[in-house]
Amino acid sequence: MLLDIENLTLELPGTARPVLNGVSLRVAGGEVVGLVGESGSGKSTTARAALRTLPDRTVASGSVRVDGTDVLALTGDALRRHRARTVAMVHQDPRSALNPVRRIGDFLVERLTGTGLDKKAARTRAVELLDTVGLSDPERRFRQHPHELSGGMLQRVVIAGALAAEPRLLLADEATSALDVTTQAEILALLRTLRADRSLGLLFITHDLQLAAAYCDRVYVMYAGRVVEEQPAGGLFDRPRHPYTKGLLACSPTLGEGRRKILPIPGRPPSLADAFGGCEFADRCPDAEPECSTWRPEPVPLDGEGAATCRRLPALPGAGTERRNDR
Amino acid sequence: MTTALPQAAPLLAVDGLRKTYGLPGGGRLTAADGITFTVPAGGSLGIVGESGSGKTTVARMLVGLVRPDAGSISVSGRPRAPRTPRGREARLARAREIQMVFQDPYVSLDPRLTARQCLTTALRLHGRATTVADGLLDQVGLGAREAEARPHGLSGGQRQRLAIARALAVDPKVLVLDEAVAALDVSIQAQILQLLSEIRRDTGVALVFVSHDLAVVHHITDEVLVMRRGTVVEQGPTAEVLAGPQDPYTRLLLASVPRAGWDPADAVTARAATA
Repeated sequence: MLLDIENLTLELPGTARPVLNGVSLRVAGGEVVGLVGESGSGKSTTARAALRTLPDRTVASGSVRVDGTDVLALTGDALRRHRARTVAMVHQDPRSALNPVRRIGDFLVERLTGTGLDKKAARTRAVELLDTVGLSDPERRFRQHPHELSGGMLQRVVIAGALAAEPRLLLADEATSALDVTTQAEILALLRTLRADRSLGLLFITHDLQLAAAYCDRVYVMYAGRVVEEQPAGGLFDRPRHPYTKGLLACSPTLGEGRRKILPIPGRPPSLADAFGGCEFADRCPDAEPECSTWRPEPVPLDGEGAATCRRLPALPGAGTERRNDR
Repeated sequence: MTTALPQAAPLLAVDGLRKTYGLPGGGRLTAADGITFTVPAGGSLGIVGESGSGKTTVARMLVGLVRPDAGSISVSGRPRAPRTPRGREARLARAREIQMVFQDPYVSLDPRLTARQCLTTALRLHGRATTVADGLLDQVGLGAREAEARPHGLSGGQRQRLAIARALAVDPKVLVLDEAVAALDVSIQAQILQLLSEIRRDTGVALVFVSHDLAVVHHITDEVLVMRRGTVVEQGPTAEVLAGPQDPYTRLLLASVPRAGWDPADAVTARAATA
């Protein structure tokens, strides 16, 4: 297993609940795994755990393994090598990832010389990488500054930079959210090709459940620091099992036949100042019973694949019956 | 599918709107050109396009934040002057025609005013009874605690509700929303969309909904304008345009929306079909 997070709990001083609460997540080589949640659900923190770029004074329990290495135990040179070589991360805003006064080429060459290439080889390799990520005229791009390129082109440059060290695992944190839809589709097509060519593991973090379900192989849905559902992506559209996943699907506007009435989830996503005695979703859940607010959440395996963290799971309608389509 | 009945005089009529900006070096950038549409009372028009398509320029010309180079905007048959008129009464009357809600309510609300003060200020300015404020707060789903909170004490969704209430305080005929739900969490976005449908139903205000999100536009509008590089490439009833797009660019936008069985490579193929 490329990325194996096991029962990870992170606590920060000054918060009422753990930032992550018993998160278990796996990404295999060549697999695209989606991680979906609203703001404050802990999806970015989960990705940061794989790089161990966590805030100071974080108290962690559980384990994070990348390619068998215990990341939480790494220090010094080993940690630096881990961050530079094994795992790479692509963030939302490519403009803040690039130095505006340096050339595109410098950004790539710096990374490549860090992996042990000499200047000349690094230059050749940088131009190759720009070509790999689908930029036209890579020789010219190499000499340009960030302000001369559009957002979509810059995100390709950032992806080229992420690939420079030949990482095994790529973390994409809302990497396409700031882009126009047509550019998003191009970047996603590119990531899919790279995954296939390099058997790269990809953790794809997004707030967009429709996008994750359409693009990824497997999807984890997070709520208030906890994984509430995990399923093969195909199943999410047809058989969402956790009430929160169902709610997300029912409240997202979609294209297609007629105009489906959207059903908002009442209330708001919890902040770090909200503490819970039981299921975090209980007070927004249409299926909650009084017992839910004292139930200690734990994942319940689904028939087929995946799991959902819901006390009412056995009683709730499952396969295919649940499509709230009252138009 | 509800289609608004055609009426004698449209509430909002826009004809041949154009805006260009001078570029360093002498050229001119055409931000918007040949924008023509009408919206009936209680109607809802969507303007979709990607960044740089000119959709925000159109929205800002509607409210008067950008002065058009050419073209006319009229509300209820009365043309809007290209410049803000002199005199208090004329300015207030102009404000009552069209109001705007912006993407980021944090910068469009006064940080020093509580939610109730924000509304009473607008109401007093327009000579309306300040007692309406509680009704407005209730209409957008803000309670007693939120009424006394300042913008930093409100969540993103609550701030956007307040921005909508402030726009409604003036009792406008047209509400222009520029990416008003784009920055919100999915579950909150759905609440705001539902709120907008209710407000449209209850008050008969017409909506001009500017967005990059086709699914949202599909949900909330009757008519749609698809913009690209400053011009309208396709316009018509939303359901028809989205079900049978004629322009290759509209097809590209649709192919780029994720859904069950979607392959991003389809969008790349569709892009090859556009110039």
